[in-house]
Amino acid sequence: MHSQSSHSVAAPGGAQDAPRPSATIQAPVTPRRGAAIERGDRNQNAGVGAPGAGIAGMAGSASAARPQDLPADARTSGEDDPSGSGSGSGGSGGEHEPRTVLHADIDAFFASIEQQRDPRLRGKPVIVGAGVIASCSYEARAFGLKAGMALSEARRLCPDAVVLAGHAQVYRCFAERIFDLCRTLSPDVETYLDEAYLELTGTERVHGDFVRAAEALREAVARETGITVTCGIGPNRMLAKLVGKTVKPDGLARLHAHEADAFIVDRPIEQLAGVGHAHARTLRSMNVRTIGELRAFPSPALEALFGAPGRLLYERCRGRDTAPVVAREIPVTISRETSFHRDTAEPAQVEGMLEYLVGRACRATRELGLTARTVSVRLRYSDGESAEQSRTLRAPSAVDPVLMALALELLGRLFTRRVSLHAIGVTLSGFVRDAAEQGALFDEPEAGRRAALCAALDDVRDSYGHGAVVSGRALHLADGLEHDRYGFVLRTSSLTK
Amino acid sequence: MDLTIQQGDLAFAVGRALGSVQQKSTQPLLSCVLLEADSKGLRVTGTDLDEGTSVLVPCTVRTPGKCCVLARHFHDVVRKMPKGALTLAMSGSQCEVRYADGKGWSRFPAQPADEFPRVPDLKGDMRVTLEGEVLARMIERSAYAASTEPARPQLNGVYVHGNDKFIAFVATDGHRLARTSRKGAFGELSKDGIIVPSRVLNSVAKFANEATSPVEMRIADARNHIGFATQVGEYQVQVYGRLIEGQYPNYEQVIPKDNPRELVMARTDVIEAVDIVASHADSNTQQIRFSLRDGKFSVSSATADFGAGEQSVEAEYKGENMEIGYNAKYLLQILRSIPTESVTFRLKTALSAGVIEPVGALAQTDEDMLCLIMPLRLPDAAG
Repeated sequence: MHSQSSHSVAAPGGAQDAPRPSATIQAPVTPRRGAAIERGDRNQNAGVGAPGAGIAGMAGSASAARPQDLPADARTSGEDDPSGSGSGSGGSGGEHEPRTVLHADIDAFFASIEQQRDPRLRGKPVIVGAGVIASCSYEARAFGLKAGMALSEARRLCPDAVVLAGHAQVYRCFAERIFDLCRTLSPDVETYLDEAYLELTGTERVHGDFVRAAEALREAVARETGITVTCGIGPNRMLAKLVGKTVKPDGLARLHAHEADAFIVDRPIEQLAGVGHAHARTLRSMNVRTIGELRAFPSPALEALFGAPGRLLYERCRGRDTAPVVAREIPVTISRETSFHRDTAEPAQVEGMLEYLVGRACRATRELGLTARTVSVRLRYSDGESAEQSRTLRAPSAVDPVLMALALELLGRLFTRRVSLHAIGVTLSGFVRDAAEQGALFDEPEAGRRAALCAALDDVRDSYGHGAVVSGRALHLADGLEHDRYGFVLRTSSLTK
Repeated sequence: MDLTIQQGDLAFAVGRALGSVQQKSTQPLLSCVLLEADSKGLRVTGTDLDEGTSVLVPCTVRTPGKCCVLARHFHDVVRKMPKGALTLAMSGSQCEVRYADGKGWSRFPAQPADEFPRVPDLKGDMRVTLEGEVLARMIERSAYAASTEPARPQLNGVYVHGNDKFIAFVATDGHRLARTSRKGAFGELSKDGIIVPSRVLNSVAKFANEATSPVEMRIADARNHIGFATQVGEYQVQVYGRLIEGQYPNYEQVIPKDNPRELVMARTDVIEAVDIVASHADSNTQQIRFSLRDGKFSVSSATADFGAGEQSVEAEYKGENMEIGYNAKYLLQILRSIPTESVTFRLKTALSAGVIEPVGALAQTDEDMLCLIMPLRLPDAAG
């Protein structure tokens, strides 16, 4: 909401700028220009030079209607947000311009890729998942299916549905391609599994009309990948995502700051970011059914109910969200886990799978140019009990043998019950970028050779797929698992977070 | 057990014995100190099985005997007791201490002493004698470089070896190495050498500095135990520990002989530069960069989280331009262990071991020291 209050700050600022040359033409744009420079080098191209002037003119005309909204905005913000522009998010540069965030969401991600890969699946209800639905096509959703539902339940509701195990690597490639297209719109793109936030603030001069830019993005994605993407444009992350939800699938919607209040107030409480099943149940039991009704609670009451996140809910139900869009170059964790096709306690199977998963996680780590410091191994027994332990290396590493040795040690310590395993997973964390490898006095040649071996393996796998090279231990899996150029076809899979 | 002892003597003995007692132990008895009274005085012993400290203090013993009391608790109370003579006696299953002024007393639950681990008997074994301050100095110059990781247990100790010309203390964790030696006849050590856990040596260093007689190192014939014995004033102090088994790596072959690039600097200047620049380094990798240009030397570091910094240091440098990465923590430990005003870095490539040595003679001319540090492999560093 700080973006609204910033109008009131910006208006006198613009007046002060009036004596400057060319200010008569650019008066409405001037404050924005200041902001563009303030935001750093990357936007300078938009602010200077002859071609830039043309775009600037466009931006000016596109936003010509906005100054008229000013008084109304300023008033609401005056009543609503006594802290004024002080609530600015970490100096993200929103002082002089309304913030604009675009949320791009890939429609029925896994399922639509499967439909793309196999034309026979198009128009049919498609489910991707093992045990539970990971993703299902819109055709399937018409039968009441949704992510998280048990497959047995899904088959009962929709007997004709095609169930697929999924191809995680393929999905990642598609997602990366789509996110690359997103990055052509803005330098700040925060990506998740199947969605992305784009900070558009400060790019007005480049894009002119954001709706047109978003439409172009959707077209480009459809042209290059055949996948549909839903875009929501809003004054902050939360509202952008929320408005996108209203037009799914294959839709595009824009919410202006002054429309936000009317838009949000009557939405069901479940749609508020941060309200999950448990919170929704609590709130419904208190007769809070819409987002607007939550506003009756003072901040301390929400904090008492939900802890620290309660304060966020207090802000969010008023349409306020100051969280910045941060391009996370370094993931928090990289995990690879799977359930076994048949529960097993066979050491060769368990260790083979662990080595395969560690290998995949290590390769993902190396692809990002990172090294990991912490390895954590997670087991789930067939009786539902689980165990997890992690250990930290002194020197971060991304070579398979180093991390595998640690993972094996953890497995030895964890796998103590005489019960077969249902699932196993490995998580790498504590990433360091550009970590220079600490040289060793005594085993230097081996360390160098290990890194070279990993690099060579990566080269082979880049050309021929991860499955082209299989480590000795993981070879035990070859008896029981399907195997393609992307590697073993696992029962369930997970991606980099 | 019935005896009279000065409060200061008892506090000293219990305090030193406590140094070898681990806070948390699986065996309740190992959280205790053993009190043994006989004709020689009161012996207080603490141990965690890998290491032990035993202090014999003078006292008047009327009835010999022994018991165990909770180490930390006993120490905390004894420290607060009034100065002067204390009377220690067993009263039932409790150890009773009466204060000199007759105004007060304390009772401690005592445990039977029979189960307490026995101190290894090191009589008649190989003996090496060093002055206390020499031993303390050699420990200080080497032990910091030992590893604490369980992966290679041999590196968790200091390698002590010698012959009829010198004795040397060497420690390394595989990334840096510290070696200090002293001239003298130590032929007893010529066979193999021993690996002393750095924990044991750190306990030794605490009293070696205040030793009033030379410290005697006693090595068991089976080469599985070591004891350090000395006199601190009237007190007889003994620290003993289990030696680390296994083959120490052949460290001499990794000491580079021909490092042509020489960098000479004032030690305090480098310490200051490395210290401040390291505040911008990743808190775990501690990665900093040495930039060697002809006539110019600077230390720098840069991270996304902590920004960047650079400081130039006056240095004499002969050689080609070079960029080399180091772990700042390792560097600082090495530089702080060197006593001279100036230090020399002798380098070859950005990937090979560098030698750091004092410039000029040490204050003790019969001693010598040398440190090795492996660089961090910077992405842009050429071999």
